[in-house]
Parts: sequence; structure tokens; C-alpha cells
Amino acid sequence: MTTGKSITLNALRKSWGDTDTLKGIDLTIPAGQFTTILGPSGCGKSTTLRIIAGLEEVTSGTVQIGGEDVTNRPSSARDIAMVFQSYALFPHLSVAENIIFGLRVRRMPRAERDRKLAQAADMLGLGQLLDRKPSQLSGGQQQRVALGRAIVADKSIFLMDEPLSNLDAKLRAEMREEIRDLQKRLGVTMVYVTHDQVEAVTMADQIVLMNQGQIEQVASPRQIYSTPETLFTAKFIGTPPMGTCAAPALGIARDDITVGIRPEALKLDNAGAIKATVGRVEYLGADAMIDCVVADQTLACRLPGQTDLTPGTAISLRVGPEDLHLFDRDTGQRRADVPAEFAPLFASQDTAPQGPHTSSIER
Amino acid sequence: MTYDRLLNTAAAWMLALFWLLPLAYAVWTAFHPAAYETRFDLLAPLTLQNFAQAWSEAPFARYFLNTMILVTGIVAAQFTLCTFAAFAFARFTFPGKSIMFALVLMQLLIMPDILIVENYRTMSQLGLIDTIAAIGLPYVASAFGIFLLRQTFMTVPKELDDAARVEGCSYLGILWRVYIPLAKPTFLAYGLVSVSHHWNNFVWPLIVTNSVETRPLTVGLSIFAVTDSGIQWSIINAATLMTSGPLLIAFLLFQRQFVQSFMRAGIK
Repeated sequence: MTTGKSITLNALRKSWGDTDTLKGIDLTIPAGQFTTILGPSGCGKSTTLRIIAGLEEVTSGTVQIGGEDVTNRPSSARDIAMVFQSYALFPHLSVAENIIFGLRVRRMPRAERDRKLAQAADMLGLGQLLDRKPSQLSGGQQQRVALGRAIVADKSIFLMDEPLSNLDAKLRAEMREEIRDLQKRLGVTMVYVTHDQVEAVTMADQIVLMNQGQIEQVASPRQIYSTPETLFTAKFIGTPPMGTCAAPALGIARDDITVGIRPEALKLDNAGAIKATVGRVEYLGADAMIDCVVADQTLACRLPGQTDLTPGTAISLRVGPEDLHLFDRDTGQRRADVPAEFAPLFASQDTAPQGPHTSSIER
Repeated sequence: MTYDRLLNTAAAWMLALFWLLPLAYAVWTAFHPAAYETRFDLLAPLTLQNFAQAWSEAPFARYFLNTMILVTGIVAAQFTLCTFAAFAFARFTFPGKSIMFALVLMQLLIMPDILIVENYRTMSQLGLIDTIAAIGLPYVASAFGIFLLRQTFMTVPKELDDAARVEGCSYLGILWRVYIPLAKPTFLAYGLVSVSHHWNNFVWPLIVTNSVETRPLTVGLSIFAVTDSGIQWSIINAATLMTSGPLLIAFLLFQRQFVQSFMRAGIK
């Protein structure tokens, strides 16, 4: 049984020629926790992971693992195991040989090797497949073999680079759970790179959201959903994403503020302060997504599926003060306070008490 | 459509027949007494006498040994050298890399025969004239081999390389455990081309050798064939069959594997 180690990145920069892939990353990944690095493609999340793994050299900055500076150490001396997006199974080796590849390289005695192999195969249900070649396995099985290779390595840190992106949706859901279980059982520190927010939110203890080579926010899944620190985070997390509009569109004289409201936080209310026109209506079964046109801008609103609204209808909406996200128009940073100008929005607060809305992240 | 097909088939048969004719003639004369060299008679008596005579009249055993040593030596040296060079070209960046690779490619364009004089001079400076090493050395740094293996190595996914590094492989370890096993078909195909080329190579060994101890089969055969007592086709052809026999038999036996590895290595 291994115990996780913490990872600390200090002022990490990475440039390829003139392009800066990472523009100063400061990050602490706590020991024994599941951390996902989330972001759109090209945001530098994979580069960050590869730098932690020692597969990429830093331009400047340091990497610490378990309190030791490992910036100049090779991958094999960093106490990490890695699972790649393509699984990186050696096509000429059998499943068993793939799993014990690293043990062979390290010249581990045969008996111990066999014991570890049996253990890992048992844990992952690969017992029947040990003699097969990777090309004879399904995607999910290949994924398990890659996990097996990481398990037998007995390392403190698991690095995963979009490991589920090549699987179909059903299998992905299964593997999500399995990987989460595995991390709990082994107690390792998991760093999991993904562009899929569902994976990030369902698996992580901590989400690191990256954009254009910088960290937007580091927070727990609940926190990142309920209090996005930047406009980018607000729009990235949540399906469908948070609707935003300039404050003047809602009749508030603050053109330095952008307002964000989650679709499920907008409620139909005849006494509501937000006057809108129904735009597009998208029926989703249990829910319906309504585009509410406010002045010249659009806010998405989630209503029960049986709604009979049709495009062109004038409606009134209300929103609770705790569901209002305010961002600085220019910097995109969250504003902590709600300026007095916003008070008219909540004027009809007494009509109905609001229950906590449900998260709409599940797919 | 069928007309086209008919023409194709006929042409293929013609080509095969033309290719086969000298061989058929060699087989015919080698297994029959000298009297039947120019006469075709289905009932002509069969004999192995020609082989026995050829074997006893020239030191073919020694020539065989020389060729074996030569071919294994060249292939082993080529594999080693080309593998390292190809690995360097495929996976490392170093100053002057593209210039060096351009030089390698240029070697592909130069006919080895052009360099015979210069090679002879080099071998003589090295004091290697009339040695088996001298026959092989000019071919050891094979541009074709380097190029072929580099192309193959470049198709190996980078993630396999990364995975091996994470598991603690050194560069040589990665080469040995990942790149070489994955390039096996290429090695096989290249090995075959190299073996058959050097087994059959004639001009250079003829020039650089002049004794029984170093001469390969091809040179030995040509010397044997130019006897002063007139040409005896049956004996010469028996000797020819003997010298080309091993390659021919090996190819017929492993035909399927050969073709497959050529397909996989992308050589046609």
C-alpha cells in the first residue's frame, strides 16, 4: 500500500519558441486527493501533466513532489505512474508482459513480479486475458491493462491524461467509478487531466480549471459551480452553461458589470422584475430550455418539460440574490458585493420561497 | 474486361517463362551428362556426376564459408550501425541533424560502383586488400538501412516512448524494448535484401580479393567457369545451382513470411 505525496508547482512556465503554453502556474495538489485539471483543448493542461511527469522540461519554475524539488529528475525518479490517452500499450507484448514491463526494467525478482501481476489482474478482472495481445482487447480492457501497469508500479502519484476519451459513453461512466474507487483504495495522489467537465465534477476532490496557459480557479466541484471566480469559469462549468448579459440589459445602470445567471435559477414569476420575450424553445424531455430575450441579449432558462410557452410570448422572471453572479466587465473577475443598483431585481422576493436548485451538471 | 484480363495473364506467364528459362536450362544440364547439353530428350539419363565433379574441381566449400562469413558479418554490422543511426535521426535533435541526414540520403543516390577506385584506395591504406573485411566494409554504413529504419522508428507512437521512460527505461532500453521489437518486419525485410544483395555481389569482391581464402562464391564461380579447357556447361551449371541453391531454397521455404514482411515494411 502506498500513500500519496503532494505536488507543488511554483511559477511554472513553458514556451515553445515564441508561444507561451504555460504562463506561470502556481498550484498545490494535496496528497492522497483526486485532482482533475480541466480546461478547453490547448489550455496547457496536458503540458502541465507532462511537466509533472518529467516528460517535458520546464522553461522556468520548479516542480516539487512530496516536498522535494524534482524539476531536474527523470520521470522514473519522481515516484509517479502514468496512464496515457492512447493507453500506450506495447503492441508486441502480451497483457501480462505489458503490466510487468516496468518491473522487468527494474529487474524485480520473478516471484515478486508474478505476485504483483496476479494481484493487479485480480483487482481489475484481467485474469482471463493475460496471454492476449493488446490488439485483441476491447477499449475498456486496454484501459484496464494501462491501469494495471500503473498499479503494479507501486508509486505514490498517478497521472492520467484524458484516459477515458477513447471509450463510449456507457463504458466511460463505469470506468469513472472504477478509477475513483481505485484511487480511494490505493490512497494515491491522482492527477487527472480531462476536457470533460462531467468527469471532472463527478470524480474530483479538487478541480483545477485552466484557460490559455493560466489557472482560472482551484476549488471543489461544488464550490466551482456555486461561486465561479471568473467569467470564464462561470461559462465553462455547467451544462448548459451559465447565461450572461450586460447589467444594463436588465435595466440596471452599471455598464461595468456583467451578470451571470444559471438557467435553473431563473424562475417564471408574473411579479418578477426581469421582463423578457421567449426566443427559441428547446424541448429536452424532463426539461425545456428557453431562450429569454432581455433587451438585445439572451439568457437561457430551464423550465419543466411540459411548459407551453411559445416563441414571442412576453414573460416575467425572477432571480434570488444568491443566484446572481456579478463579474467585472473588463477583467472578468467575480465581484464579491452586490451593488445597491441591483436591489430592484429582487423586489418581488416575497412571492415564493426558493428551494435550493439542483445541479444541472449530470449528463 | 475479360480481354484485358486474358492479356494480363498471358503477359504474366510470358514473363515468368522468360525468367525461368535460364534456370530451367541450368537444371537440365546440371542433372544430365554433358552429351545432352544441347539436346532435349525426356528420357535422357539423370546423373549427379556434374555436382561431384564441380565440387572436387574447385574449393567451393571454402567459397561457401567465405560467403557465409561475409554475409553474416555485413548484416550484423549493418543492423547495429543503422539501428543506432536511425534511432538518433528519428528521435533526437542535435546540431547538424538535417545536414547529416541529407548526406545519408545523398549516399542513396550514388551508385556504389562509382566508388570502386576510391574504396580500393581506402582499403589498401587500411592494409585490408584481399580480406573478407575489405569486401564488407564499404557496405556497412548503408544509407538505405538508415533511411528505412528511421522511417519505421518514426511511426512508433511517441506515447510508447513516454510510457517506457516513465517506467524507468534508459534510451538504450527504450530502443531495445520498444523500437526494435516493433520494427521487426523491417529488420527482416532489410536483412533479406541485404543478404541476397551481398550473396550475389560480384564486381567489388572480384577486384578486392585474389586468393581462395577470401573469395566469395560469386567470384569463385566465375573463375571456375573460365577454364582453359573449354566450357563445360553441365559442370558450370551444376556449380551455379550449388551456389545459388541455399538462397533459392530459403526463399521458397519462407516465401510467405518474406512477402508479408515486405508488405509490412513498405518495400516493394
